[in-house]
Amino acid sequence: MPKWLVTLSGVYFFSCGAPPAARLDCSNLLPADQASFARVATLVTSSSAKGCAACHNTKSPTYGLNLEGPGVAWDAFATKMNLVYPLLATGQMPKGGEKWTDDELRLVRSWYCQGALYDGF
Amino acid sequence: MTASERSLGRLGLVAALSLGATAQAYPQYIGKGYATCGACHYNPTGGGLVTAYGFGASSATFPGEVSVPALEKLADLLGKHEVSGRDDDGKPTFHLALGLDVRLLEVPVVQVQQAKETPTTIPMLMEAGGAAGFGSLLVYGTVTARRSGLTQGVDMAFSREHWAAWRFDDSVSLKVGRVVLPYGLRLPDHTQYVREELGFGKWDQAYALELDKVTDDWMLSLALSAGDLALSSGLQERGGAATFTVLPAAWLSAGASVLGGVTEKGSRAAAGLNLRVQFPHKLYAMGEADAQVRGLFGAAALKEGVGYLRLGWFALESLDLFGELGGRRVLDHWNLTKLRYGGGLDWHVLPWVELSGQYLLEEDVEAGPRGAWLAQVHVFY
Repeated sequence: MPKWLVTLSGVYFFSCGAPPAARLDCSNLLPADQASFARVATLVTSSSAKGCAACHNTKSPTYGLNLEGPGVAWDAFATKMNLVYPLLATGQMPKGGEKWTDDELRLVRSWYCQGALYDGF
Repeated sequence: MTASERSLGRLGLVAALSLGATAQAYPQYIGKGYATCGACHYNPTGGGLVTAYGFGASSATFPGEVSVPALEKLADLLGKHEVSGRDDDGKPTFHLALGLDVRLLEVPVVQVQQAKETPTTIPMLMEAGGAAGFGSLLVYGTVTARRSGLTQGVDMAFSREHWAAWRFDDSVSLKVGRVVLPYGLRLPDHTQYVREELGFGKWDQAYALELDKVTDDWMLSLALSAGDLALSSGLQERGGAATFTVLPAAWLSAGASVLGGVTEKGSRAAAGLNLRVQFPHKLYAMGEADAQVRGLFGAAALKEGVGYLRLGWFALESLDLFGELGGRRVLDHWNLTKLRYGGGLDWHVLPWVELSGQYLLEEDVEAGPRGAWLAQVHVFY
Protein backbone atom coordinates (compact mmCIF):
# COMPACT_ATOMS: atom_id res chain seq x y z
CA MET A 1 0.00 0.00 0.00
CA PRO A 2 1.42 3.47 -0.83
CA LYS A 3 2.82 5.33 2.15
CA TRP A 4 0.58 8.34 1.59
CA LEU A 5 -2.46 6.07 1.70
CA VAL A 6 -1.27 4.58 4.98
CA THR A 7 -0.88 8.10 6.34
CA LEU A 8 -4.32 9.11 5.17
CA SER A 9 -5.85 6.00 6.66
CA GLY A 10 -4.50 7.20 10.00
CA VAL A 11 -6.86 10.15 9.90
CA TYR A 12 -9.25 8.87 12.50
CA PHE A 13 -12.07 11.09 13.49
CA PHE A 14 -13.32 8.46 15.88
CA SER A 15 -11.24 6.32 18.18
CA CYS A 16 -13.09 3.24 16.97
CA GLY A 17 -10.24 3.00 14.49
CA ALA A 18 -8.16 1.47 17.26
CA PRO A 19 -7.86 -2.33 17.60
CA PRO A 20 -10.58 -3.54 19.98
CA ALA A 21 -8.13 -4.92 22.52
CA ALA A 22 -6.41 -1.56 22.93
CA ARG A 23 -9.50 0.59 22.87
CA LEU A 24 -10.79 1.98 26.10
CA ASP A 25 -14.35 0.71 26.12
CA CYS A 26 -16.74 0.23 28.98
CA SER A 27 -18.02 -3.28 28.40
CA ASN A 28 -17.32 -6.35 30.53
CA LEU A 29 -16.70 -4.34 33.70
CA LEU A 30 -16.21 -5.48 37.25
CA PRO A 31 -18.83 -4.32 39.76
CA ALA A 32 -17.94 -0.88 41.09
CA ASP A 33 -17.25 -2.16 44.59
CA GLN A 34 -14.58 -4.47 43.18
CA ALA A 35 -12.91 -1.77 41.11
CA SER A 36 -11.86 0.89 43.57
CA PHE A 37 -8.96 3.19 42.93
CA ALA A 38 -7.21 1.70 45.94
CA ARG A 39 -6.83 -1.53 43.95
CA VAL A 40 -5.66 0.32 40.85
CA ALA A 41 -3.21 2.37 42.91
CA THR A 42 -1.60 -0.80 44.27
CA LEU A 43 -0.47 -1.56 40.74
CA VAL A 44 0.33 1.97 39.60
CA THR A 45 2.33 3.12 42.61
CA SER A 46 4.37 -0.07 42.82
CA SER A 47 8.03 0.04 41.82
CA SER A 48 7.93 -3.59 40.74
CA ALA A 49 8.38 -4.60 37.09
CA LYS A 50 4.65 -4.17 36.61
CA GLY A 51 4.32 -0.88 38.47
CA CYS A 52 4.48 2.59 36.99
CA ALA A 53 6.44 4.15 39.85
CA ALA A 54 9.55 2.21 38.87
CA CYS A 55 10.21 4.99 36.35
CA HIS A 56 7.67 7.66 37.23
CA ASN A 57 8.62 8.59 40.77
CA THR A 58 9.45 11.59 42.91
CA LYS A 59 13.18 11.25 42.40
CA SER A 60 12.96 10.78 38.66
CA PRO A 61 9.58 11.85 37.22
CA THR A 62 10.14 10.42 33.74
CA TYR A 63 8.33 12.43 31.06
CA GLY A 64 7.18 14.77 33.80
CA LEU A 65 5.08 12.12 35.53
CA ASN A 66 5.30 11.15 39.19
CA LEU A 67 3.08 8.17 40.03
CA GLU A 68 4.62 7.22 43.35
CA GLY A 69 1.63 8.12 45.52
CA PRO A 70 -2.08 7.37 45.16
CA GLY A 71 -3.02 11.04 44.93
CA VAL A 72 -0.69 11.94 42.09
CA ALA A 73 -1.46 8.62 40.37
CA TRP A 74 -5.18 9.37 40.55
CA ASP A 75 -4.55 12.79 39.07
CA ALA A 76 -2.79 11.35 36.02
CA PHE A 77 -5.02 8.34 35.47
CA ALA A 78 -8.31 10.15 35.95
CA THR A 79 -7.49 12.85 33.42
CA LYS A 80 -5.35 11.06 30.80
CA MET A 81 -6.79 7.56 30.65
CA ASN A 82 -7.58 7.77 26.94
CA LEU A 83 -3.86 7.85 26.23
CA VAL A 84 -2.67 5.76 29.18
CA TYR A 85 -4.95 2.79 28.50
CA PRO A 86 -3.71 1.99 24.95
CA LEU A 87 -0.15 2.24 26.21
CA LEU A 88 -0.90 -0.34 28.90
CA ALA A 89 -3.07 -2.54 26.70
CA THR A 90 -0.47 -2.75 23.94
CA GLY A 91 2.33 -3.41 26.39
CA GLN A 92 4.23 -0.24 25.51
CA MET A 93 4.02 0.57 29.19
CA PRO A 94 5.44 -0.30 31.65
CA LYS A 95 8.44 0.27 29.40
CA GLY A 96 10.88 -2.57 29.86
CA GLY A 97 8.59 -3.99 32.51
CA GLU A 98 5.94 -6.65 32.72
CA LYS A 99 2.80 -6.28 30.60
CA TRP A 100 -0.45 -5.94 32.51
CA THR A 101 -2.73 -8.96 32.37
CA ASP A 102 -6.26 -8.90 30.97
CA ASP A 103 -7.63 -8.95 34.52
CA GLU A 104 -5.53 -5.95 35.49
CA LEU A 105 -6.60 -4.07 32.40
CA ARG A 106 -10.20 -4.94 33.20
CA LEU A 107 -9.72 -3.57 36.70
CA VAL A 108 -8.38 -0.21 35.55
CA ARG A 109 -11.07 0.00 32.85
CA SER A 110 -13.77 -0.81 35.38
CA TRP A 111 -12.57 1.87 37.76
CA TYR A 112 -12.34 4.52 35.05
CA CYS A 113 -15.65 3.73 33.38
CA GLN A 114 -17.46 3.88 36.71
CA GLY A 115 -16.65 7.41 37.67
CA ALA A 116 -12.87 7.35 38.21
CA LEU A 117 -13.45 8.10 41.87
CA TYR A 118 -10.82 8.26 44.57
CA ASP A 119 -12.19 5.43 46.65
CA GLY A 120 -11.41 2.28 48.56
CA PHE A 121 -8.83 3.72 50.94
CA MET B 1 10.49 2.06 14.01
CA THR B 2 13.13 4.77 13.70
CA ALA B 3 14.81 6.58 16.54
CA SER B 4 13.13 9.82 15.51
CA GLU B 5 9.71 8.17 15.64
CA ARG B 6 10.43 6.86 19.11
CA SER B 7 11.65 10.26 20.18
CA LEU B 8 8.54 11.94 18.81
CA GLY B 9 6.38 9.47 20.65
CA ARG B 10 8.05 10.25 23.93
CA LEU B 11 7.68 13.94 23.38
CA GLY B 12 4.04 13.49 22.58
CA LEU B 13 3.58 11.58 25.79
CA VAL B 14 5.14 14.34 27.82
CA ALA B 15 2.96 16.86 26.09
CA ALA B 16 -0.17 14.90 26.75
CA LEU B 17 0.57 13.76 30.25
CA SER B 18 2.46 16.52 31.94
CA LEU B 19 1.08 19.74 30.60
CA GLY B 20 -2.06 19.15 28.62
CA ALA B 21 -1.95 22.41 26.74
CA THR B 22 -4.70 23.68 24.59
CA ALA B 23 -5.14 26.42 22.07
CA GLN B 24 -7.75 28.78 23.27
CA ALA B 25 -8.67 32.40 23.57
CA TYR B 26 -6.86 34.94 25.65
CA PRO B 27 -9.34 36.19 28.20
CA GLN B 28 -6.61 38.43 29.59
CA TYR B 29 -7.25 40.66 26.58
CA ILE B 30 -9.71 42.40 28.86
CA GLY B 31 -6.48 44.24 29.73
CA LYS B 32 -6.55 45.67 26.23
CA GLY B 33 -10.22 46.51 26.38
CA TYR B 34 -11.58 43.42 24.62
CA ALA B 35 -14.50 42.39 26.77
CA THR B 36 -15.75 39.72 24.35
CA CYS B 37 -14.04 37.02 22.30
CA GLY B 38 -16.34 36.72 19.30
CA ALA B 39 -14.87 39.60 17.33
CA CYS B 40 -11.54 37.83 16.97
CA HIS B 41 -12.70 34.19 16.93
CA TYR B 42 -15.23 32.29 14.84
CA ASN B 43 -16.53 30.85 18.08
CA PRO B 44 -18.56 33.50 19.96
CA THR B 45 -17.28 32.13 23.26
CA GLY B 46 -13.68 32.29 22.09
CA GLY B 47 -11.01 29.73 21.35
CA GLY B 48 -9.81 28.13 18.15
CA LEU B 49 -8.73 29.85 14.98
CA VAL B 50 -8.88 33.61 14.71
CA THR B 51 -10.95 35.54 12.21
CA ALA B 52 -9.52 37.97 9.69
CA TYR B 53 -10.45 40.76 12.09
CA GLY B 54 -8.67 38.99 14.94
CA PHE B 55 -5.55 38.52 12.87
CA GLY B 56 -5.74 42.11 11.69
CA ALA B 57 -6.15 43.34 15.25
CA SER B 58 -3.08 41.42 16.35
CA SER B 59 -1.13 42.81 13.40
CA ALA B 60 -2.15 46.31 14.42
CA THR B 61 -0.33 45.73 17.69
CA PHE B 62 2.91 46.70 16.01
CA PRO B 63 3.97 50.30 15.54
CA GLY B 64 5.56 49.71 12.15
CA GLU B 65 4.69 47.55 9.22
CA VAL B 66 6.26 44.12 9.34
CA SER B 67 6.91 43.00 5.82
CA VAL B 68 8.39 39.67 4.85
CA PRO B 69 7.64 39.06 1.16
CA ALA B 70 7.80 35.28 1.35
CA LEU B 71 5.42 35.19 4.30
CA GLU B 72 3.07 37.68 2.69
CA LYS B 73 2.94 35.48 -0.39
CA LEU B 74 2.13 32.52 1.82
CA ALA B 75 -0.52 34.57 3.59
CA ASP B 76 -2.12 35.45 0.26
CA LEU B 77 -2.09 31.79 -0.67
CA LEU B 78 -3.75 30.78 2.59
CA GLY B 79 -6.27 33.56 2.23
CA LYS B 80 -7.33 35.23 5.44
CA HIS B 81 -10.67 36.77 4.60
CA GLU B 82 -13.74 37.80 6.44
CA VAL B 83 -16.27 34.96 6.29
CA SER B 84 -19.42 37.01 6.40
CA GLY B 85 -20.99 34.89 3.67
CA ARG B 86 -22.37 38.01 1.99
CA ASP B 87 -21.10 40.46 -0.56
CA ASP B 88 -21.19 44.26 -0.25
CA ASP B 89 -24.84 44.27 -1.34
CA GLY B 90 -25.81 41.72 1.30
CA LYS B 91 -26.32 38.90 -1.18
CA PRO B 92 -25.13 35.42 -0.20
CA THR B 93 -21.69 34.63 -1.51
CA PHE B 94 -19.10 31.99 -0.72
CA HIS B 95 -16.21 32.92 1.57
CA LEU B 96 -13.39 30.72 2.74
CA ALA B 97 -10.57 31.39 5.19
CA LEU B 98 -7.86 29.06 6.39
CA GLY B 99 -6.00 29.11 9.67
CA LEU B 100 -3.12 27.59 11.55
CA ASP B 101 -2.16 27.19 15.19
CA VAL B 102 1.23 25.69 16.10
CA ARG B 103 2.76 25.67 19.56
CA LEU B 104 6.21 24.34 20.31
CA LEU B 105 7.25 24.03 23.91
CA GLU B 106 10.75 23.87 25.32
CA VAL B 107 10.80 22.27 28.75
CA PRO B 108 13.25 20.26 30.86
CA VAL B 109 12.21 16.60 30.89
CA VAL B 110 13.58 13.46 32.51
CA GLN B 111 13.90 10.83 29.77
CA VAL B 112 13.82 7.08 30.36
CA GLN B 113 16.79 5.80 32.35
CA GLN B 114 18.23 9.26 32.76
CA ALA B 115 18.61 10.76 36.17
CA LYS B 116 18.69 14.39 35.14
CA GLU B 117 16.42 16.62 33.14
CA THR B 118 17.35 17.56 29.60
CA PRO B 119 15.82 20.40 27.56
CA THR B 120 13.26 18.93 25.22
CA THR B 121 11.15 20.44 22.45
CA ILE B 122 7.57 19.26 22.49
CA PRO B 123 5.00 19.90 19.75
CA MET B 124 2.17 20.93 22.03
CA LEU B 125 -0.24 21.70 19.25
CA MET B 126 -0.20 21.34 15.49
CA GLU B 127 -3.58 22.37 14.21
CA ALA B 128 -4.87 23.57 10.86
CA GLY B 129 -8.35 24.36 9.77
CA GLY B 130 -10.66 26.89 8.32
CA ALA B 131 -14.06 28.44 8.08
CA ALA B 132 -16.42 28.78 5.15
CA GLY B 133 -19.49 30.95 4.91
CA PHE B 134 -22.40 31.27 2.52
CA GLY B 135 -25.16 33.62 3.51
CA SER B 136 -26.18 32.87 7.07
CA LEU B 137 -24.39 29.54 7.13
CA LEU B 138 -20.93 29.25 8.71
CA VAL B 139 -18.98 25.98 8.72
CA TYR B 140 -15.85 25.58 10.84
CA GLY B 141 -13.41 22.71 11.27
CA THR B 142 -9.90 21.91 12.42
CA VAL B 143 -7.57 18.94 12.19
CA THR B 144 -4.90 18.34 14.82
CA ALA B 145 -1.98 15.91 14.98
CA ARG B 146 -2.49 13.52 17.87
CA ARG B 147 -1.06 10.46 19.57
CA SER B 148 -3.38 7.50 19.70
CA GLY B 149 -1.26 5.60 22.22
CA LEU B 150 -1.13 2.62 19.86
CA THR B 151 2.30 3.47 18.51
CA GLN B 152 5.26 5.42 19.79
CA GLY B 153 4.56 8.42 17.58
CA VAL B 154 2.03 11.07 16.69
CA ASP B 155 0.07 8.75 14.44
CA MET B 156 -3.33 10.20 13.80
CA ALA B 157 -5.14 13.34 12.81
CA PHE B 158 -8.05 14.31 14.95
CA SER B 159 -10.71 16.93 14.48
CA ARG B 160 -11.19 18.67 17.80
CA GLU B 161 -13.88 20.96 16.48
CA HIS B 162 -16.16 20.77 13.47
CA TRP B 163 -19.46 22.52 13.46
CA ALA B 164 -21.97 24.35 11.33
CA ALA B 165 -23.71 27.50 12.53
CA TRP B 166 -26.69 29.43 11.33
CA ARG B 167 -26.34 33.15 11.98
CA PHE B 168 -29.83 34.55 12.48
CA ASP B 169 -28.40 38.05 12.74
CA ASP B 170 -25.28 39.73 14.10
CA SER B 171 -26.05 38.68 17.65
CA VAL B 172 -27.72 35.27 17.56
CA SER B 173 -26.38 32.02 16.16
CA LEU B 174 -27.22 28.36 16.51
CA LYS B 175 -24.54 25.78 15.89
CA VAL B 176 -24.31 22.03 15.87
CA GLY B 177 -21.28 19.78 15.82
CA ARG B 178 -18.23 19.02 17.88
CA VAL B 179 -17.57 22.01 20.13
CA VAL B 180 -15.95 23.07 23.36
CA LEU B 181 -18.89 23.36 25.71
CA PRO B 182 -19.50 26.92 26.91
CA TYR B 183 -18.22 26.90 30.46
CA GLY B 184 -16.04 29.37 32.34
CA LEU B 185 -12.98 31.20 31.13
CA ARG B 186 -11.29 29.58 28.17
CA LEU B 187 -7.74 29.82 29.37
CA PRO B 188 -4.63 29.35 27.24
CA ASP B 189 -1.63 27.07 27.71
CA HIS B 190 -0.19 26.29 31.12
CA THR B 191 -2.79 28.33 32.92
CA GLN B 192 -5.77 26.09 32.52
CA TYR B 193 -5.75 24.91 36.11
CA VAL B 194 -9.46 25.36 36.44
CA ARG B 195 -10.48 23.90 33.12
CA GLU B 196 -8.54 20.67 33.19
CA GLU B 197 -9.92 19.86 36.63
CA LEU B 198 -13.41 20.17 35.21
CA GLY B 199 -12.79 17.96 32.20
CA PHE B 200 -11.88 20.61 29.64
CA GLY B 201 -8.51 19.30 28.56
CA LYS B 202 -7.05 19.55 25.08
CA TRP B 203 -9.10 16.67 23.69
CA ASP B 204 -12.28 17.17 25.68
CA GLN B 205 -14.95 18.36 23.29
CA ALA B 206 -18.51 17.18 22.78
CA TYR B 207 -21.15 16.99 20.10
CA ALA B 208 -23.70 19.59 20.97
CA LEU B 209 -26.36 21.99 19.86
CA GLU B 210 -25.40 25.46 21.02
CA LEU B 211 -27.25 28.74 21.00
CA ASP B 212 -25.22 31.92 21.39
CA LYS B 213 -26.56 35.40 21.97
CA VAL B 214 -24.04 38.23 22.14
CA THR B 215 -24.98 41.84 22.80
CA ASP B 216 -22.97 44.85 23.89
CA ASP B 217 -24.14 44.37 27.48
CA TRP B 218 -24.38 40.61 27.96
CA MET B 219 -23.69 37.21 26.45
CA LEU B 220 -25.49 33.92 26.83
CA SER B 221 -24.46 30.51 25.56
CA LEU B 222 -26.64 27.44 26.03
CA ALA B 223 -25.58 23.99 24.90
CA LEU B 224 -27.21 20.58 24.90
CA SER B 225 -24.60 17.89 24.62
CA ALA B 226 -24.83 14.37 23.22
CA GLY B 227 -21.39 13.57 24.59
CA ASP B 228 -18.08 12.89 22.91
CA LEU B 229 -19.06 10.34 20.29
CA ALA B 230 -15.40 9.47 19.77
CA LEU B 231 -15.39 7.76 23.15
CA SER B 232 -16.82 4.45 24.27
CA SER B 233 -20.55 4.74 24.88
CA GLY B 234 -20.00 4.18 28.60
CA LEU B 235 -17.91 7.32 28.82
CA GLN B 236 -20.16 9.63 26.90
CA GLU B 237 -21.56 12.33 29.12
CA ARG B 238 -24.88 13.71 27.98
CA GLY B 239 -26.24 16.90 29.41
CA GLY B 240 -25.75 20.58 29.00
CA ALA B 241 -23.74 23.65 29.84
CA ALA B 242 -24.54 27.32 30.02
CA THR B 243 -22.61 30.50 30.58
CA PHE B 244 -24.06 33.94 31.19
CA THR B 245 -21.77 36.95 31.17
CA VAL B 246 -22.58 40.56 31.87
CA LEU B 247 -20.47 43.36 30.42
CA PRO B 248 -21.38 46.50 32.36
CA ALA B 249 -18.37 48.31 30.91
CA ALA B 250 -15.54 47.64 28.48
CA TRP B 251 -13.25 47.17 31.48
CA LEU B 252 -15.35 44.61 33.31
CA SER B 253 -16.96 41.26 32.66
CA ALA B 254 -18.54 38.92 35.17
CA GLY B 255 -19.85 35.49 34.34
CA ALA B 256 -21.53 32.45 35.79
CA SER B 257 -21.48 28.95 34.36
CA VAL B 258 -23.28 25.72 35.08
CA LEU B 259 -22.77 22.26 33.70
CA GLY B 260 -24.53 18.96 34.25
CA GLY B 261 -24.23 15.57 32.69
CA VAL B 262 -24.96 11.89 33.05
CA THR B 263 -23.12 8.82 31.86
CA GLU B 264 -24.33 5.22 31.95
CA LYS B 265 -23.06 4.86 35.50
CA GLY B 266 -23.05 8.25 37.11
CA SER B 267 -23.48 11.97 36.92
CA ARG B 268 -21.76 15.24 37.63
CA ALA B 269 -22.71 18.84 38.20
CA ALA B 270 -20.48 21.89 38.22
CA ALA B 271 -20.95 25.59 38.72
CA GLY B 272 -18.59 28.51 38.69
CA LEU B 273 -18.14 32.25 38.73
CA ASN B 274 -15.60 34.26 36.82
CA LEU B 275 -14.52 37.86 36.75
CA ARG B 276 -12.25 39.88 34.48
CA VAL B 277 -11.26 43.46 35.25
CA GLN B 278 -9.17 46.01 33.40
CA PHE B 279 -7.48 48.53 35.69
CA PRO B 280 -5.80 51.79 34.70
CA HIS B 281 -2.32 51.66 33.18
CA LYS B 282 -3.03 48.42 31.31
CA LEU B 283 -3.22 46.35 34.46
CA TYR B 284 -5.75 43.56 34.63
CA ALA B 285 -7.00 40.79 36.86
CA MET B 286 -9.07 37.75 36.12
CA GLY B 287 -10.14 34.78 38.11
CA GLU B 288 -12.52 31.88 38.36
CA ALA B 289 -13.84 29.72 41.17
CA ASP B 290 -15.78 26.51 40.62
CA ALA B 291 -17.26 23.60 42.48
CA GLN B 292 -17.97 20.17 41.07
CA VAL B 293 -19.73 17.09 42.42
CA ARG B 294 -19.49 13.79 40.59
CA GLY B 295 -20.11 10.18 41.40
CA LEU B 296 -21.98 7.00 40.69
CA PHE B 297 -25.74 6.85 40.91
CA GLY B 298 -26.69 6.18 44.51
CA ALA B 299 -23.10 6.10 45.75
CA ALA B 300 -20.61 8.42 47.36
CA ALA B 301 -19.56 11.42 45.35
CA LEU B 302 -16.34 13.32 44.87
CA LYS B 303 -16.66 16.98 45.79
CA GLU B 304 -14.04 19.31 44.35
CA GLY B 305 -13.34 22.99 44.47
CA VAL B 306 -10.96 24.69 42.06
CA GLY B 307 -9.82 28.26 41.64
CA TYR B 308 -7.61 30.42 39.50
CA LEU B 309 -6.32 33.98 39.69
CA ARG B 310 -4.13 35.89 37.27
CA LEU B 311 -2.76 39.40 37.60
CA GLY B 312 -1.05 41.01 34.66
CA TRP B 313 0.25 44.12 33.03
CA PHE B 314 0.51 44.95 29.36
CA ALA B 315 3.87 46.67 29.66
CA LEU B 316 3.72 47.13 25.90
CA GLU B 317 0.76 46.65 23.65
CA SER B 318 2.43 43.40 22.60
CA LEU B 319 3.92 42.33 25.95
CA ASP B 320 1.95 40.80 28.79
CA LEU B 321 3.72 40.26 32.12
CA PHE B 322 1.76 38.13 34.54
CA GLY B 323 1.66 36.16 37.73
CA GLU B 324 -0.90 33.48 38.42
CA LEU B 325 -2.10 30.98 40.95
CA GLY B 326 -4.35 27.96 40.62
CA GLY B 327 -5.37 25.19 42.91
CA ARG B 328 -7.67 22.29 43.68
CA ARG B 329 -9.09 20.93 46.90
CA VAL B 330 -11.05 17.69 47.12
CA LEU B 331 -13.29 17.35 50.11
CA ASP B 332 -12.23 14.57 52.53
CA HIS B 333 -9.08 13.84 50.52
CA TRP B 334 -6.37 16.22 51.65
CA ASN B 335 -3.68 14.40 49.69
CA LEU B 336 -5.37 15.38 46.41
CA THR B 337 -4.77 19.05 47.10
CA LYS B 338 -2.54 20.74 44.62
CA LEU B 339 -1.33 24.22 43.87
CA ARG B 340 0.33 25.62 40.80
CA TYR B 341 1.71 29.11 40.57
CA GLY B 342 4.17 31.03 38.55
CA GLY B 343 4.92 34.08 36.54
CA GLY B 344 6.04 34.92 33.06
CA LEU B 345 5.46 36.83 29.90
CA ASP B 346 3.62 36.52 26.62
CA TRP B 347 5.36 38.58 23.98
CA HIS B 348 3.73 39.08 20.62
CA VAL B 349 6.87 39.60 18.55
CA LEU B 350 5.32 39.44 15.09
CA PRO B 351 1.73 39.50 13.89
CA TRP B 352 1.81 35.72 13.60
CA VAL B 353 4.36 34.82 16.27
CA GLU B 354 4.15 34.91 20.03
CA LEU B 355 6.90 33.94 22.46
CA SER B 356 6.09 32.89 25.99
CA GLY B 357 8.26 32.21 28.97
CA GLN B 358 7.12 31.11 32.38
CA TYR B 359 8.38 29.70 35.62
CA LEU B 360 5.83 27.23 36.91
CA LEU B 361 5.88 25.75 40.39
CA GLU B 362 3.58 22.86 41.15
CA GLU B 363 2.99 21.53 44.63
CA ASP B 364 1.26 18.26 45.42
CA VAL B 365 0.76 17.07 48.97
CA GLU B 366 2.36 13.74 48.10
CA ALA B 367 5.01 14.79 45.61
CA GLY B 368 6.04 18.09 47.14
CA PRO B 369 7.11 21.09 45.08
CA ARG B 370 8.39 20.81 41.54
CA GLY B 371 9.42 23.78 39.46
CA ALA B 372 10.24 24.22 35.81
CA TRP B 373 11.01 26.88 33.27
CA LEU B 374 8.84 26.71 30.20
CA ALA B 375 9.36 28.45 26.89
CA GLN B 376 6.96 28.40 23.99
CA VAL B 377 6.82 29.56 20.41
CA HIS B 378 3.32 30.07 19.15
CA VAL B 379 2.70 30.55 15.44
CA PHE B 380 -0.82 31.31 14.35
CA TYR B 381 -2.70 32.59 11.38
